[in-house]
Amino acid sequence: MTLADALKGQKVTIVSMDLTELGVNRLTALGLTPGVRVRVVDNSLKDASIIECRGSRLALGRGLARFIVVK
Amino acid sequence: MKNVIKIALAGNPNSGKSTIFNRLTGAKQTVGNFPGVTVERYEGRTRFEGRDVSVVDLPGVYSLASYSDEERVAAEFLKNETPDVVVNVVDAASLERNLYLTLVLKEQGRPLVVVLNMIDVARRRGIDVDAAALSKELGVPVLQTVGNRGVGVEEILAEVVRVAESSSAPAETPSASACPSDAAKSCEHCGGECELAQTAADVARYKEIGRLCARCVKTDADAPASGSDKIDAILTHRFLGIPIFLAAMYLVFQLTFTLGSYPMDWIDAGFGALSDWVDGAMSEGVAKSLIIDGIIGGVGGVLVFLPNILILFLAISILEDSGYMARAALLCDRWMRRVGLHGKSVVPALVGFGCTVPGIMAAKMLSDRKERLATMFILPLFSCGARFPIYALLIPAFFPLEWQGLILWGIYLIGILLAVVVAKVMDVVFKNDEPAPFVIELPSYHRPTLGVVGVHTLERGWQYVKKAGTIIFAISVLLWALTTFPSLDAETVAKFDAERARIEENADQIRAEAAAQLAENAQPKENAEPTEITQPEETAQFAEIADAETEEAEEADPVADALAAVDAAEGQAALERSYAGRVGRAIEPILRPMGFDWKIGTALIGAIAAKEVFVAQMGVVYSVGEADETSEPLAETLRANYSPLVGFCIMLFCLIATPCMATFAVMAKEAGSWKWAFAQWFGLTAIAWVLTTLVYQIGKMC
Repeated sequence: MTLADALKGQKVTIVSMDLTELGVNRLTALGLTPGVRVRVVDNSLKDASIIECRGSRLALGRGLARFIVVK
Repeated sequence: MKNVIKIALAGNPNSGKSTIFNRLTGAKQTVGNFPGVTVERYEGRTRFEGRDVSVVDLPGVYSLASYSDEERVAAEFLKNETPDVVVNVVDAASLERNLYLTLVLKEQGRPLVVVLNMIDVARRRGIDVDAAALSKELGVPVLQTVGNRGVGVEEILAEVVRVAESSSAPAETPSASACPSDAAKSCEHCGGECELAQTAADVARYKEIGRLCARCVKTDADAPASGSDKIDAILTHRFLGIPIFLAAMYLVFQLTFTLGSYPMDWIDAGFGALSDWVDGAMSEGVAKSLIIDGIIGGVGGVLVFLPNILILFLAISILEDSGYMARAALLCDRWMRRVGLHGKSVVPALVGFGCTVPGIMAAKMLSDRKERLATMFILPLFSCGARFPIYALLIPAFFPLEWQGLILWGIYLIGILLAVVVAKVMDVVFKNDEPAPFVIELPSYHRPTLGVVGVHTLERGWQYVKKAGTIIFAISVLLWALTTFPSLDAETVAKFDAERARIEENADQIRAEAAAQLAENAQPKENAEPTEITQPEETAQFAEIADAETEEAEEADPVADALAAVDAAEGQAALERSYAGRVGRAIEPILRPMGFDWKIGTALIGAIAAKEVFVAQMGVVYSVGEADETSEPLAETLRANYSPLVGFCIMLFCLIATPCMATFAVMAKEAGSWKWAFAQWFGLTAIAWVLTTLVYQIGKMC
């Protein structure tokens, strides 16, 4: 399952991020790393997922969320 | 022991760093740019126990990995300018994420003081951070503050002074825990630079963070969740979000007008009084004309809009500081992406509503070159603060009060829609293969802090005043000269003088006629005595125009009116003869289809330098010959001379055409070639001409 498929309110763990180096580094600095627990705040927006991770709230474009594998 | 202790404030965006900075330095701040880049550098000074402390507010960053200009600037500053102490401001409520930067900063080796900010918010959310334990684990002092209430800010200075004094001997005490960058350094073939090593370092850092948080943070699971969830459910709603955003912007623009009108009147009256005083104190001549028409008319005409600018910037600062702007960027991403832009393009665009120049600079935050170029290209279409005076002059001049907000909103909306169209065209022309990743932090909503918002607003207002005092001052004088020289020849002047003399001679007769006219108008049928017209036809016409303009003032002196009309005619003749008039005339054939005459043309030439010069220039163009009038003379003159359709067309043209010189220069620099600057300038001007012509020609038929 990817982050884009997760449901509102669901708590998931990041397994891997199949992104370019730039993308991975950006997300890492914002606290998204494999193994981290993420709460999906809202996934109803058409092109973005709102998540909460390490105490901060982030919005990720679908283009990113689709390539973040979670469980 | 050094005389001045140099400290740098570092922290994530939205960690309350600016608030702490303001608390530390008060109003004693300077704003500059970091060398080579356009990231703003805030610097301030303060004193503590007899020591001078200089504080540099580094840009908000998540890491020092140099992916953005902000990160590069922060990293280079720490490396090259070696502050005595680095103060790391940390949002206590999202400690886990913020500690990443803390560890990175610690690895830099400068003396570090960690400030746990917003502990009140954290406690309310059931997050309790054990500062003493954290300090012990990190091996650096950890303080607690509530920046927006100033709690604990004094202690920062005390700690900084203590650390600076104790660390003057570079006694770097390695902490008990493993240094995460060791993991990177262990990558032997690259010494910690390659991708693998970075990843290894990151994994080590987050492991360390996990350990720190487990020991120092207690989270109360039963604490009420942050209110942000509920607010976000509405403000970022998939259907409601955009209408709310548009409504918020509408409200902002409406407030700008209604609240701004009072101080504007005061400033206007002040300049009127000043100009009256100069008029009385100086003798007739070129110098007097320069001061009244050139300087007071030009600079005053621009400064009058300062209240509007301040209110607009204040509103934008509040939206930024409250956390809403990030939501706006998120909402817009969907639409931005459709035209090949990025959600973050909204930020340069919103900055562009203030001024296009920093907007173009802000486009740097976009990492994809095509997105960045497209964003910069369309930025002048987001109506900047300098164009605002044009609207503020023309809208009240031509439209009733209840329409004013709507028209202003409409102008801004036209700009945005046009930007969308242009961006889409560019997207199709320069196919964008892989869009950059969209990720943005949504800071928790909070009440904007007056200090930060106020300082930013005043700073922008001051920039505007400085611009008015320098560039606009110079241009006003230049344009005054262009409109004044060459002056009328003696023969023409003599003709107008003769005209005036004739009116004064026949004063009684004119008064009697005017009285008769008035009586006739009052009782049109009964007292219809034929009035004899003895005065020259021209003068009668002038008198008629003058009468029409002052129809409410029944006791107005018809002789004075007639004289004023002659003065105005003389002024116009002089303007036609001047250089500005000649250039305006020369380009008139191009302007005609849009409904503009050569006077508007001369003002538009001024607007090429800076948009707000249009207003100053219209003031100069029309103040010739009527410098003694004070209350709203320009708006009234415009109303008398042009139709609302022309007024709208001027705004439309100014919105789209001829980006100002500063924009042109910065576009060339940021885009990396003059080609882009020229393409933008001529492209937008061509679009403006076609659109304005269409609107005028269609409007004329309706």
